[in-house]
Amino acid sequence: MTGCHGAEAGGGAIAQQTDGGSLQAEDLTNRALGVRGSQSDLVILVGNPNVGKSAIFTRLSGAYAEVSNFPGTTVEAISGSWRERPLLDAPGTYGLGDHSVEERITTDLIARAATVINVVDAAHLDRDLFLTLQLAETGVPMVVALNLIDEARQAGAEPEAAELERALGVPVVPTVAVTGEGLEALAEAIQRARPGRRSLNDDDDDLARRRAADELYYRVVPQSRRRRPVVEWLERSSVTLHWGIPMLGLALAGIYLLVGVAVAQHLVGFTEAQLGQELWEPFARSLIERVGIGGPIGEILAGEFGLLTMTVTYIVFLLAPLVAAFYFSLALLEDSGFLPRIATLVDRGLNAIGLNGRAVIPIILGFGCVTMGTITTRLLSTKREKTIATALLNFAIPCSAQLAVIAALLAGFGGAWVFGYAAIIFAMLIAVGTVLDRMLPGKSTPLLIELPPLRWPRPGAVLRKTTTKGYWFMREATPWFAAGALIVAVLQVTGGLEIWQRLLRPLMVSWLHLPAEAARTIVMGLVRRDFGAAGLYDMGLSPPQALVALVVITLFVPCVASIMVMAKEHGARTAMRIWFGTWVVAFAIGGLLTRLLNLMGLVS
Amino acid sequence: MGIDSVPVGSWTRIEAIEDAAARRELTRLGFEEGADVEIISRIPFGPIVLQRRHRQVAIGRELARRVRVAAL
Repeated sequence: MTGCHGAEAGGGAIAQQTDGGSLQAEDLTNRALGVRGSQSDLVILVGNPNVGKSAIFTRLSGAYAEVSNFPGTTVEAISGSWRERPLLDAPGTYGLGDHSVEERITTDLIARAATVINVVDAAHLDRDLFLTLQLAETGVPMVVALNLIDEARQAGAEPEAAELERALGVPVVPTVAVTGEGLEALAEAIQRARPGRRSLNDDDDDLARRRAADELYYRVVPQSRRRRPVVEWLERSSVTLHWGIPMLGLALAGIYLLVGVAVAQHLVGFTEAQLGQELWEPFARSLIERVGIGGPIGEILAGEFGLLTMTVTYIVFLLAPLVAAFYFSLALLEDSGFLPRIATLVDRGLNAIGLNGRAVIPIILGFGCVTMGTITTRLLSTKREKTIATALLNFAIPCSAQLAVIAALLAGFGGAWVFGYAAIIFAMLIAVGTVLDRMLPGKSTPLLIELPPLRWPRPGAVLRKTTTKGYWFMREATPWFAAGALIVAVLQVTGGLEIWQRLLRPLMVSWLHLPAEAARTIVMGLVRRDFGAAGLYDMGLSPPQALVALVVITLFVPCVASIMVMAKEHGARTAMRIWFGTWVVAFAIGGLLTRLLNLMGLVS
Repeated sequence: MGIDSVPVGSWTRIEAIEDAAARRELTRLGFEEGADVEIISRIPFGPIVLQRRHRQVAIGRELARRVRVAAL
């Protein structure tokens, strides 16, 4: 036993956080304050990750802040206002100090705040009181929102608010943020906020603070917790290999059945063909004719690739149902608390490509929208991990819309084609990850993640998340779609499409064995990959052709929005290198795959 | 010995956490030096999952080796 003396030797591993955090914090506070008045009345929400700060923020300010059941949903402070005072939702943190970006942002914000609302999880007070005691030591006027009080009640371990109030010397209000219970009382209590009672003399003694928090916990929480055998069994078994992997498989199969089969094949088959092509498009065409717009303009508006015809069909009747179904599945995964458990299960695998289990969170969210996933890589602790995860996301992760079109196209040919596609993309992920892991100096940091309690997702919350994110995605995507359609339509009217198709003919026809028209999906794919994939939907491709085309379009250039996020986070040079790199990789792999399929006797 | 060699299903007391950042994080989470914890899972070559007072935390294998416990 080396004891504490050897401690500093390995200490750098997790401490290697990104730099520039305090600068970011200052920026954020200034931005929030600059717009919304003086800092003398700033109110901030502070608490451990995943205790409902964002839900309280939403209730108080009326603005939507994302809520999930995994730590780190809020990676940046979010600003709003409450009764004309600036209100900030600080990133979740387990303590104050300067050891991580979240800590630095939060600590800096507290120094400028007039009032702190400390949101704690009433069902897990033992953990949360550590931060509460630390906040009391800062001397800032505070109130405590004893959130998730309903869960604590159900568990038969409701904390005594009055006792906690006496011990801390600040108002304590039981709340249930998602239903709004106690929010009025909280608003009233904010007026009575005052500095908490200091319980320690030495600021820096974490162990003593931990002991003080535990002591307080045993004083205010009755140790009469009810047993919940089923949930407890699930919480334990979901992180073992022999139960967790089948559960993960079941969850993925469920998502596939909902998105890939029920929506992609049955629902979209109806909306795309019946509502889109048979009902909407003839209507749009006749409308344009009646208004008297003809010639090239009419063609651009209502022709084969028209803004009012093809674009509307793709967005409204093809992508919207698929994207909604996908975000619904993701919302269930996020809110149930399953994501960090997946992170635990796959940690060993991700170590092999220079990441730890935590990286599975941006990667899974990337399946919703790669741009969002790229932003979420901030919850990874080192620059190295962020770079690897960003590259994986932009090289090989198809986003929801794209995935949905892929499912719709391939599932029709049978499960084997879907499996083949998944295997190729998975192999690409491993290849890209391995290369980067070798190239970049350093090694992966160890996993250390809290596993949240498993919860039944609340229907209202899931619905709100699905519609908010779905709407956000469609609003983000629609202008790019329209731009892509406009380019293709103009090229078609001017004859440019012919030239482009002839230019790419060797590549498309001889190298990839695809129809020459597939070249137009490349134009659309330049703007957005999912749009390119959508273009393949009714091209009448054979199964091997569809597989090749989809692999190429998946590995092809990232969306314009993703490139811009990448350029911002990693510099324009890196972004351009990845952009050109995807051209080479996509066509090289596509060609090899074509040859391989030929060798296997699958004529393409 | 490291907490990675404690059998699943048994309890142990954390004696020392030989990594400053991990010690800070685990202390905040309530898995501090001196805490009695239950080992609830050990994924082959992967993380160790600990439980204390209805809360769980997963620790990567390599880090778990540096979380020292008294030999059984």
